Amino acid sequence: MIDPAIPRLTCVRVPELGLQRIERDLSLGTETPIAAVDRPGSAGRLCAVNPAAHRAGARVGARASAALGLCPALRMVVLDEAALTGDVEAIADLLERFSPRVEASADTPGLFWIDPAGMTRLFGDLERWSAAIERALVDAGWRSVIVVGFGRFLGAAIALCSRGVRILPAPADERAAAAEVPLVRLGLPHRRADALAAIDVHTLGDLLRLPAAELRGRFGREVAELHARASGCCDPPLRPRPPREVIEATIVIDPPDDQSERLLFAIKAALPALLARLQRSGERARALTLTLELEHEAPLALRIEPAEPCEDARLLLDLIRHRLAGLGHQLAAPVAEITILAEGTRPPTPQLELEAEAPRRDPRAAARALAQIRAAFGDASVTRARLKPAHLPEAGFTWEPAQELRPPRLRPPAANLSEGTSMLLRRLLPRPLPMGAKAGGGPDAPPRPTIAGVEAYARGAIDRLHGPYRVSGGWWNRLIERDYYYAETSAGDLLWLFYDRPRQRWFLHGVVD
Amino acid sequence: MTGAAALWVKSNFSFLCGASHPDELVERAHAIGLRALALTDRSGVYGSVRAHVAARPLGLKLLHGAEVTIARPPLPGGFGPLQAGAAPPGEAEAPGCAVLLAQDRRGWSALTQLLSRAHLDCPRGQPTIELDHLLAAGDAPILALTGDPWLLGALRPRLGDRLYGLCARALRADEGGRERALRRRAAELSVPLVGAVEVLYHERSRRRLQDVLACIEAGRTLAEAATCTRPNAEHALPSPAELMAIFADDPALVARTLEVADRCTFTLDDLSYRYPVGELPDGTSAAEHLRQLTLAGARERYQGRVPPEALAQIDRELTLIHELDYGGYFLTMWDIVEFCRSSQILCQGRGSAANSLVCYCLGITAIDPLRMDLLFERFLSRERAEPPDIDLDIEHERREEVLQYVYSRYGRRYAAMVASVIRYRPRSAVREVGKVLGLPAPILDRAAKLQESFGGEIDVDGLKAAGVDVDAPLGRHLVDLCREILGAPPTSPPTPAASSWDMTLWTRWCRSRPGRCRGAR
Repeated sequence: MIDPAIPRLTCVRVPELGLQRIERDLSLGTETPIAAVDRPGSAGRLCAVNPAAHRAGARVGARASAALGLCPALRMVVLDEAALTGDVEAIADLLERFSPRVEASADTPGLFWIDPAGMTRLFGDLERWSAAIERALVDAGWRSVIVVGFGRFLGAAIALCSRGVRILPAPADERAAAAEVPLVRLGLPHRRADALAAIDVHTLGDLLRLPAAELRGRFGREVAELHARASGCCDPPLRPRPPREVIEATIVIDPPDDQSERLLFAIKAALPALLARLQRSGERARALTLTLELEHEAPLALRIEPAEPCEDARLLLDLIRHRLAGLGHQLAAPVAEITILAEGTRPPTPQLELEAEAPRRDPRAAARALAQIRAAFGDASVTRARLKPAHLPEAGFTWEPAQELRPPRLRPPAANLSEGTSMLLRRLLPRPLPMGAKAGGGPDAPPRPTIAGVEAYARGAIDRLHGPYRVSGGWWNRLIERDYYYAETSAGDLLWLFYDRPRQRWFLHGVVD
Repeated sequence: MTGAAALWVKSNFSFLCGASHPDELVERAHAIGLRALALTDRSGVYGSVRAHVAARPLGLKLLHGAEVTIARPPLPGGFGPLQAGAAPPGEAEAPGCAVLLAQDRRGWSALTQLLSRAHLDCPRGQPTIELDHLLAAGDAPILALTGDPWLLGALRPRLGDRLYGLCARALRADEGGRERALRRRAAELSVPLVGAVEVLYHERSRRRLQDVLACIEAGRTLAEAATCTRPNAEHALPSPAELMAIFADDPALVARTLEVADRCTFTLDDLSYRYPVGELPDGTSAAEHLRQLTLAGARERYQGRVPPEALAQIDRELTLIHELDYGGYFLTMWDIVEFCRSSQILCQGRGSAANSLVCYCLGITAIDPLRMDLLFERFLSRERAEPPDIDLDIEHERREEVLQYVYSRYGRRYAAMVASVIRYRPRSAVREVGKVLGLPAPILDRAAKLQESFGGEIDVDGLKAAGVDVDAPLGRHLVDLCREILGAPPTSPPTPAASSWDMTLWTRWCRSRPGRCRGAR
């Protein structure tokens, strides 16, 4: 039974934040061993390793040289503290959509606390609220663990050993769950953990059963502090991030004007002061929102996002010029006033890339190009496919605006794929194409398909069909019953087709290559 | 080939999953010529009695079992380093699924104990059997059918030839890969495979209702159902010929269904009333102790002068009670009444128990049946072959004290409240089905309120009056689906029947689960 009277605190952990950032940047797939190191050179130590590197023998804390000896294919990337700070800021910004009170851990990047008070009125219940947070983080490209508990330290400890979303009904459940957390996961030095293990103290629960008085003398400061924090006696209250200063400028256009060049020059005059205000708080412009107040018409809002946070007024003006030019004659009335709202973020300082690691493609150049396309044609002009659960193949994805360039993640090959076999890709056609058919399937079976009508995608005659698997549904609206097959033609083409049972016709839905 | 058996059949007692009543499944199985049917509801045996009653006159062989979820044991080392070549984290923790079938009475006992333990140990609505518990019950005559390769490896050493690989087909896109993995593992372990269809409804037309139930469970409308519904309608009860067609590439899988059916001989007729013998003072038998208590009570009731006809009646009743072995039951009721009396909790026996002089003498009832000329046989008779039913009214504000006494006196594993399963009535049917169909809430609310609370039929005029166009496709779906869903159990938690409770070795013969009574643990 959940008691609503007890104040709650939610811990959000983005595990191995630095490693997740590196994996996203490199986009090498899950099978490539990757490790984050604290400094360049063979003396650096591994801060985080991905599962492939772990399987190859690389361990957190090991020297880079030792790890390379065990796993020559290991890709080691130096953790960029500044980039981590940027990511922490971005995640905290995202979390503020779900609660106004968000605190980012000062010591552990990727650890956040949120106050869920009042949020259930908006989201329904804590389950939905936490699921929405998890979904938003996944959309932003982060794996996360969310523990909706009561205490700051205990929630963080449980998040270390949990997956997904965990909602603890009562403080007693939180204490019970935290009691199972192994001490070695809590950052206790190994020698301290070993000393405790010698007296059969392995978990937080074991530690809490020890009397506090003698701990500092017998096991050291770290153990005593850990005991005190786990006991809850020094759990500080939530320290939410202070609200951001609104950096905004208003330009009055008198007389009202609809010429984009003149509007651009008016913006050009105000922009440097805005960027200077951002710089003073150590930030760069992440986005500009331009609100054009039109004479006797509803205002028009334009959002300009550079490829990466910048302080270059010329670049931003260039993007604004693209957007204003893209509006063309769409302005329904002259502009009487322009409000520019600048959103800032701490600038990432990317590490110097080694020559050997430089990718063949320049993702920054691509991001800049996409930002220009977005500026010229609007946010909806740059989209990417997003998978969604559905039985019908064409309903299994949707197009969504893409804010940043993120290479696709390939699923690892199936474990039963024999060596030397390559994976096949199935490409969906925008719309299923009707195919020809001929008799000969049998009295109760459908006619056999031919490539008539889809010659652009297939050559030769269809030799073999493999299937079917059946998808049916939609009875409440429009009945769909499809038998899907893979077909092989005499020319070696592989097709993905289906027999539409209600319409009694064959359709080509995709090709395999 | 002389037939086939359906070995993985879920009725609507697999709450919000199966879409047919147990008797519908049994009748259909008989009509299409199946030799046997295994009722294997999700983590429960709620539908077994109905299926048994339906199967007996038809002569259909009914196998009793359940589909269970089996938790994976934790990885070696707990939170320690990942093992080389270990499965990915998500996959490594996914539980397994198995169909457990009781071979005989001992197997049924083991099965119900496993289910009870799963419900008692796990959060509400998520019963999961620990692998260790299943292995510990490995000697019991239970057949296990599973399609999970890891479970085959885990169960093979303990279950031996009582383990089968469950090769289930439903024309799904992903089943080819899974079947290949299963076949490879089964070949490595020399485990035989058996063919099945996961049956969710007795005929294909019920697929619509199954979709609706799945949406109710997921809290979605049909339009936003996504993958919470099944991708196709291939979950109807298959005839032997259809099973042969599905497994045309390997007919031995169908033949083996009969082997499985032949190995299961358990029927519910094998169960009979056996009251546990409680602790008795000085090693006396239940009958002797009951006689002593009754005679002492009689002396008290008749102020020391027990009439000869009362003695004769007591003798007659005790002889019958002893003959039918109900002495323990009377002693239990006496014990509870004594507790109430000593705790000054008002309690009173009522109903047909008032016809018994033994009950009167034990203080369970307050009316002298001799003086009122009541007939004892109305309460208990040799010919009726039914256990007696003593209704006890207890002061409602202190009822919990009595329940806690019973739990502490007889143990939580041996005492349980009788629960009843609620069913869809017209109002709830219209509300739930309408919501899934995406009907506007105000219309739905009005339509539900115009239905009878406990009526047996959907009032179409009431729907019309609420503004539902019953001739439009959506309205037709609403009427048809509401009619189909009537009588189906809506959700998993059975509700405690507030006024009746009984005790026996519950966990051994039927599935028990924790209650949610306020103040009770």
